[in-house]
Amino acid sequence: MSHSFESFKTRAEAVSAEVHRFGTQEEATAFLLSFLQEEGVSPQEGAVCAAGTFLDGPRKDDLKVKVPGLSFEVSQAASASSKVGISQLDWGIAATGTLVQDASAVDKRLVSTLPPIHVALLGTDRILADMNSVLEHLRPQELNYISCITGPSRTADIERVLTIGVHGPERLIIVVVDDLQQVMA
Amino acid sequence: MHADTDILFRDSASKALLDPQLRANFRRAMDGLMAKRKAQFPDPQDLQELRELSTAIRSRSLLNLPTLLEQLETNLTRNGIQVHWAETCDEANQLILGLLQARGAKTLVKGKSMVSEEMHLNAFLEAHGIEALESDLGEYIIQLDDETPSHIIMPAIHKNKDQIARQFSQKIKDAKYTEDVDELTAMARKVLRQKFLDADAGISGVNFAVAETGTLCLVENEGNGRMSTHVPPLHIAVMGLEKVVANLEEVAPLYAILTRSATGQAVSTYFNLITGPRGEGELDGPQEVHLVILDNGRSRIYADPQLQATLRCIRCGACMNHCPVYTRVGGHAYEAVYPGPIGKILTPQMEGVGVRHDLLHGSSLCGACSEVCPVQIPIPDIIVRLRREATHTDATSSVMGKGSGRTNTEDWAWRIWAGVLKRPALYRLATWFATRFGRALPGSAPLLKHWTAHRTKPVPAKRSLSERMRAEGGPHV
Repeated sequence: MSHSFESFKTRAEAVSAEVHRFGTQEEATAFLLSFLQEEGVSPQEGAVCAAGTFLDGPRKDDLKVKVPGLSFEVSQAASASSKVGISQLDWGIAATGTLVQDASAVDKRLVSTLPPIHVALLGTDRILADMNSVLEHLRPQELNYISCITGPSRTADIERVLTIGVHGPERLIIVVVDDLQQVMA
Repeated sequence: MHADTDILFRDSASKALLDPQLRANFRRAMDGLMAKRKAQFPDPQDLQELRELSTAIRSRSLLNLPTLLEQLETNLTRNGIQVHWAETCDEANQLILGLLQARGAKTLVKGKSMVSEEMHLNAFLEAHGIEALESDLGEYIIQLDDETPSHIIMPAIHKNKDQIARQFSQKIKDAKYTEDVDELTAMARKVLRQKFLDADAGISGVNFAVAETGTLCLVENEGNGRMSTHVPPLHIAVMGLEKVVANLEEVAPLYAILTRSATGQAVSTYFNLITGPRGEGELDGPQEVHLVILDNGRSRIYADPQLQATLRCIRCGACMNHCPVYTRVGGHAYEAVYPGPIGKILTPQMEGVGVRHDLLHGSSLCGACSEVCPVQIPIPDIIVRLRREATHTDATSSVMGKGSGRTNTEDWAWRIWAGVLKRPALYRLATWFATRFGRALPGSAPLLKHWTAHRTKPVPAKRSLSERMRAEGGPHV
């Protein structure tokens, strides 16, 4: 598993994603809190969260109190005016540094598309070897939308000069958590 | 009948060759793309195995095309995606216009789609009062200047950043002049972001349509594909009917070879699998998803077992990046929606081998294209086949415009040539004249001048071979 993580991290960083790994959900939450504060998330420049299991329960209430401007009510308008979008992803692909998500719920797509920063949460044991291993777990017939995300938005349309952050996020921060148990997508 | 049009490519290519800026822009970009692709395939054997797998998948898809398309329609419909069929570009345009008008849509944003370029959809919609804004950065740049894509993956690669800087400062409101690529990109982002949020509809292409699951796959890097498909309330996807594959397992290798061949990326930033509109009770995302499946000559191409290989194409653009002609003249010289080697075989089959005869002859048949093609389309063989189709009218041939590339001048030239070769006395007489007077013939003589415009005039020997054989005592010939 740790071998998968190392490979995942290397590949994701090669395409300009930022990768952090934490042993426990407490540590990951502390990181998230300090990150949102450092980025100056406030009611004026908010954060929207479609996080799933990780931020359910007391942890969610605690963060809401400590970070005014963090909202769990996701809409297109809220996402478009937010600085940070937070979501929980379903799978990681070690071979390419890719994140895979059942994004049938539109809010999951909006928070990873519209704000300039996307924070992606993922359980360490959800990192699999390659695309085929992930495909075995996915049933697209039952999912309206599956997103595969590898690094922040990019283009090379002007003189083939690599430019990060075109229409999607300019920063992708991946938070990998060892003790995060996710239910199957 | 093709006499007026058959010099299009020759003329525009000659013009392009005289433009050092254009040549430098392409040279630099194509060298970069070739190097990046090469770095993605370090092991030639692995590459060959992946090409063979991809070729097999695409050939199999075509073999079962009618069944797969039916299955695709059934499953898309079950998933809530509405399917429309269009035989011609005009039908497709009318269909889309109807969908937009019925919903009162006035503005739409477009993700990159070559099929919509094939349909000239933007111009059509604008004529009907609907604003269609391209959102892919390259497409946005060329739309500002009312140009067509010069490359199927990098539509604005014929321009350099200075040219784009000037263009943006003139055409974008309140834009300052800058040659900084990040700043230029940010300007386009700002304009387009608001358009996305206001748009009534989004239009996208499709890279693969999965029959078994009823899924539309979209490959992209910028995020505009995602924006076009889940921000506006209506999403319309367009695709050529050849884009279908059987199942998701077949998509994985095709996707892997597509991004590596196209831009030298192991994967694209985004890979979106769309299987339905917004769920019940949701307030955002597309309420309706439609798919328009376009024929536009594809079933005709499909009907011929050899030419069918044309439809295997996954639109990676590698043939362009490696073509000694394309890399020197650029995409616009082809005066066609699809430039480069794939365009040379696709365009004449869609528009007629007679009217686009010019493209078939703008090739040295060097084979660089088929050597890099991820699905091993035998482009040079197809070019040769279509050259023949352009001048022959075989009853069994389904090729569009077959025989219409034939001209009287050429016809007579070959008849005279054959007549002379069949008669030894006449042949000896002709060679006697050629050896005696050929040198005196000026390079500017009719017919000969087309050859000598770019080449040294051929100089015949002083005596023909048969004369020398006789004079020097060889066997009688």
